[in-house]
Amino acid sequence: MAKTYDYLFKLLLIGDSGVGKTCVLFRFSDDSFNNSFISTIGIDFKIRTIELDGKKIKLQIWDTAGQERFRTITTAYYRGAMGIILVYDITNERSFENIKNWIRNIEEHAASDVERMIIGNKCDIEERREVSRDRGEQLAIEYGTKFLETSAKANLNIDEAFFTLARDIKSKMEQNEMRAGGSVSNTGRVNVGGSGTQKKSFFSNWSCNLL
Amino acid sequence: MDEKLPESVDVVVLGTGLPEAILASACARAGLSVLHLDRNEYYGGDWSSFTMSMVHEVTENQVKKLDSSEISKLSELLTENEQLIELGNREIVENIEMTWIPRGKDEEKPMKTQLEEASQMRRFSIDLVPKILLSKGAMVQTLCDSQVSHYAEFKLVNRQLCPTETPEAGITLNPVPCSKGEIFQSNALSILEKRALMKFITFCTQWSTKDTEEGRKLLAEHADRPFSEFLEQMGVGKTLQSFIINTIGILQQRPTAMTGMLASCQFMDSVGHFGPSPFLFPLYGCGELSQCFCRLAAVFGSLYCLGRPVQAIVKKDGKITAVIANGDRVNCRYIVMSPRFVPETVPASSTLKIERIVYATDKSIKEAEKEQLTLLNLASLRPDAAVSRLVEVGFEACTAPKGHFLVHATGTQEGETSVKTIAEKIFEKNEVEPYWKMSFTANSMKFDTAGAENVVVAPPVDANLHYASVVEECRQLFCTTWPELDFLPRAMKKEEEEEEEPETEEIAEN
Ligand SMILES: Cc1cc2nc3c(=O)[nH]c(=O)nc-3n(C[C@H](O)[C@H](O)[C@H](O)COP(=O)(O)OP(=O)(O)OC[C@H]3O[C@@H](n4cnc5c(N)ncnc54)[C@H](O)[C@@H]3O)c2cc1C
Ligand SMILES: Nc1nc2c(ncn2[C@@H]2O[C@H](COP(=O)(O)OP(=O)(O)O)[C@@H](O)[C@H]2O)c(=O)[nH]1
Ligand SMILES: [Mg+2]
Repeated sequence: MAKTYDYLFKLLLIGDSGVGKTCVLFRFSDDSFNNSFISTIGIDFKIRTIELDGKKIKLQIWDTAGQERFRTITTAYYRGAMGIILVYDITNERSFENIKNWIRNIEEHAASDVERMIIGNKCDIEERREVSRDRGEQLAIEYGTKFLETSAKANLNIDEAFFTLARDIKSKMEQNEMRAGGSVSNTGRVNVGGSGTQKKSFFSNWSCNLL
Repeated sequence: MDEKLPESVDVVVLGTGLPEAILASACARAGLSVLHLDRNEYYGGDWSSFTMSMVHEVTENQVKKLDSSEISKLSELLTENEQLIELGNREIVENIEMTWIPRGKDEEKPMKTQLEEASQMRRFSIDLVPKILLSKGAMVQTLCDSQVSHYAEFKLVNRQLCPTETPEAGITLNPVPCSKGEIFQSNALSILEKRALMKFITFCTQWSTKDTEEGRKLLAEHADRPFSEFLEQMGVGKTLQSFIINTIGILQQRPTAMTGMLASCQFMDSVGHFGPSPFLFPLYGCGELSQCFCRLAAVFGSLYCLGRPVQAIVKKDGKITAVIANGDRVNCRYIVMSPRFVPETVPASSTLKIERIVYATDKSIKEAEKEQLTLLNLASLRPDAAVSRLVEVGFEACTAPKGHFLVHATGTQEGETSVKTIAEKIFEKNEVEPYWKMSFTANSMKFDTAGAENVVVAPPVDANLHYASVVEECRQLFCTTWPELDFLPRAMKKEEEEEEEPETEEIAEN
């Protein structure tokens, strides 16, 4: 079967409960917005394929499954992530302060070279703002990440956020490939979820192999 | 962040060990509302994997016995005819000892410092309960059906060793063929023996389609005789006999014709699915699996709260009606709990003691060109013990820094020689100097009842090589408790996943 993309990036969304992560995800993947608090039930990850410099990039974006509520994200969530979007809510000071804690979490559990980005969501509700744009930018500088203010509701900067992160991952990857001489080493990992397409037990054709 | 626990749920699950996680995910998947609590700040309980720094820091959240003033305070949360019951706190993992072992070659700088300075401590993933998966076993099937397989990756166990011991040579580690290729390339077998092997395999494939009774009839009076006798009778010579018995030995010790045939079929069924070897090991260690099931549970709405010890449970008319955590009362219709919490008034029906030692080394027990993930069956050196094995895992399985290994010894406590003695003999013979070790005893406790009809006691930690029995026990518990619900049924395919298939295959074939 022909591959429908050139790269596959695993991305994560992280941040306090209620900052709008699930809405950001839905806005990006389905271009939809739901005003009621979306229960995260049944949302594992979403996929959207984008194009950058003529390359098809499949973004697989994982939601927290609500496990951020009591800060009980499984370390398994962070495995294999290539990019992480840290989300706070500009109308919620606490969610902004907690970004530091989330970053510490990432440093502990995610790959050390994971690309990060900070977004301040809900910038459509200026009248309830608690965190100035300036403080967001300062924090991003402190951690050496890119920064955007977004609104999932008004569809502001959502595509930009994902495209920026994807572009950063892509260029890092291409640099690494050049250094490694063009091919990523094959580590022989096994993914068991081949959904029913597993090969037949090959003992059934042993005799052929023998002759 | 300042959310309170819900007032009432269908099921409260206590403990995030693998069996509790499997049950939580099955409940959530079936549409029950689930609150999953762990008194520790980490996932996995007695099934956890730790980094090197965590394993030293971790102090389990000890639950103090309630004093009378606390009891009277909690009792305010009770209604008429309700009774407060304290949870048990049984020692599942006990006699834990951990040491950094000074070595001559680290004189300049102890290994601990070297690892800390290179920030390598977090690269370890030290399993409390190391196991492997059979490629076509119950666990892989459950992972695939439930799609928990999305959250985990595996490495093939690519080397099986079998030790022999003589007074002159000490312990020698012999490769055991664990693939078709290895068997047929072996020059230890003649063409005739290879023919005989083929005949045996053909017999197995036909035999495996029969049910047990019919299979037993085919083996006739041999069924309970030693497997070797049966093989002999099938025209399998001595060399080939030991080949076959060594190969399946890790699945079945001292096989009879019947158990030997079952193990042979199990082995053959799993070979070639994901690679030459029938065995898989989870990347980042076995503790990862419980977390993966917890994620599935969360995706289906289960609420997670760690570091939240439950102080007591509430009983009325022989049934549990609520749990009390952090002074909050959560009403529930069922409780699933790890054996650890079974109230002390309930006696265990059996306890099996498992001896565990973990070593950290910077040299493989049998060096090879490429890093290997090794399974070593020690049965021949401890014939009296039901379980004796070593697993060596390293960097490729993401359980140790590059060039380092964890060697897990697991054994039941029978006979004179401990797995520890044998492991250390093997190190000495192969000039491996571990720089760290941890030992403990794990108590595998079973209960016939938990003292109330709506309490499900999850299966305990066990010494089995693979996960078939854990998964099977969870399935049975679930189906007995909720006969009208399906246990982790096959997920319906979403379109995104259809599209994903080529990618999965590509990975699988690499
Ligand atoms: C990833 C992450 C890591 C953090 N790590 C730390 C840390 O190491 N140390 C630290 O001081 N702060 C940490 N915080 C910040 C913390 O969440 C609180 O914001 C901060 O401690 C202030 O707490 P609070 O009691 O004012 O309010 P809230 O967090 O709103 O808590 C309200 C009440 O609930 C209790 N509570 C909350 N969670 C739990 C829980 N899991 N178990 C028992 N009781 C609970 C609180 O003690 C408090 O009484 C972290 C935040 C994040 C997002
Ligand atoms: N005004 C506004 N509300 C938003 C925005 N994004 C999310 N919300 C609301 O914030 C609440 C929480 O959103 P959700 O995506 O569930 O947050 P999560 O817990 O981080 O996943 C919901 O009520 C959303 O409607 C936004 O950009 N603007
Ligand atoms: Mg959400």
